[in-house]
Amino acid sequence: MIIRTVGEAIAGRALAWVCPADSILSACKVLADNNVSAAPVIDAARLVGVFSERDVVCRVVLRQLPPGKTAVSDVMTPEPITVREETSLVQAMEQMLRGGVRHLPVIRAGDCIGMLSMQDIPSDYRLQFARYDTAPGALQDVTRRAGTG
Amino acid sequence: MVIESVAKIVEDRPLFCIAAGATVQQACEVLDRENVGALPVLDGDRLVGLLCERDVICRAIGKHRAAEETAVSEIMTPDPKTVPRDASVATAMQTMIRGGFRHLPVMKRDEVVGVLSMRDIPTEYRVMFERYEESRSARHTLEHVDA
Repeated sequence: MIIRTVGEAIAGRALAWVCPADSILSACKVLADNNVSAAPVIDAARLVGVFSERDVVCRVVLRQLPPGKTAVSDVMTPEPITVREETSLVQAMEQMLRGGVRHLPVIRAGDCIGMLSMQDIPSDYRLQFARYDTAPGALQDVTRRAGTG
Repeated sequence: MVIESVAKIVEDRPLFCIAAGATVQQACEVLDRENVGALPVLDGDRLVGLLCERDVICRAIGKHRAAEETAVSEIMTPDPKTVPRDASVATAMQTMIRGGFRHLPVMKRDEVVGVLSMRDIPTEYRVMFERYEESRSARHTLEHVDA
């Protein structure tokens, strides 16, 4: 099976999402219950950010914020880069690498319908991207920012 | 390009570890600074566990434990499954999927030499594995009906 578009890659997956006013505690429960690393932050049907495990590690724990009293909106990544569902996986991968992010909210007709993860991108694509990128220095930089863990 | 063993994936990457007695706060500093998702936990040179972001979310934050007062050993996944460095990518993937985890320490005898992430596994391998599992369970159902 060859997966070509973002929509095909996330088809059938339930959408786990959080509200900007949710506490870090309850948002962590959403991540844990749905076994996902990141969730879109949705305010009155509008996508306003992305909340990830990484945000908890880097912005809550490191800053010693109280998880029960801190709101998702305080640590989320606001105005995230998004992809439309008909976008190709190769383009989505480029966006993740160049943007230094591991998750992209997927948009259909203005609504967030899911989340694409770097895990959805075949490693072959990344190898080819690395080979054909004409600026090796720039590539190393985006790869480092996107992370390998 | 065909990647045959997990060693080829991890051999050129730096390895970051954390001591079992370190605090969750210190571990998060390493996760943040080195931009990795999981750390092998060592007692001396011995691998005793694995700490990932998910452990911090589910076992520290979710359990109201303060990161600066909790030891890594309290929230890590103890005695993690590992693979030898000459294991095939397919074997490593099977170990991760069956066990339901995303990171796997790679060993050279008793020494950790790297961490393999589910992210390193080509999606095609996963699709093929899922199809194999589906056909296996379908066959099992048929055999059960025949009996």
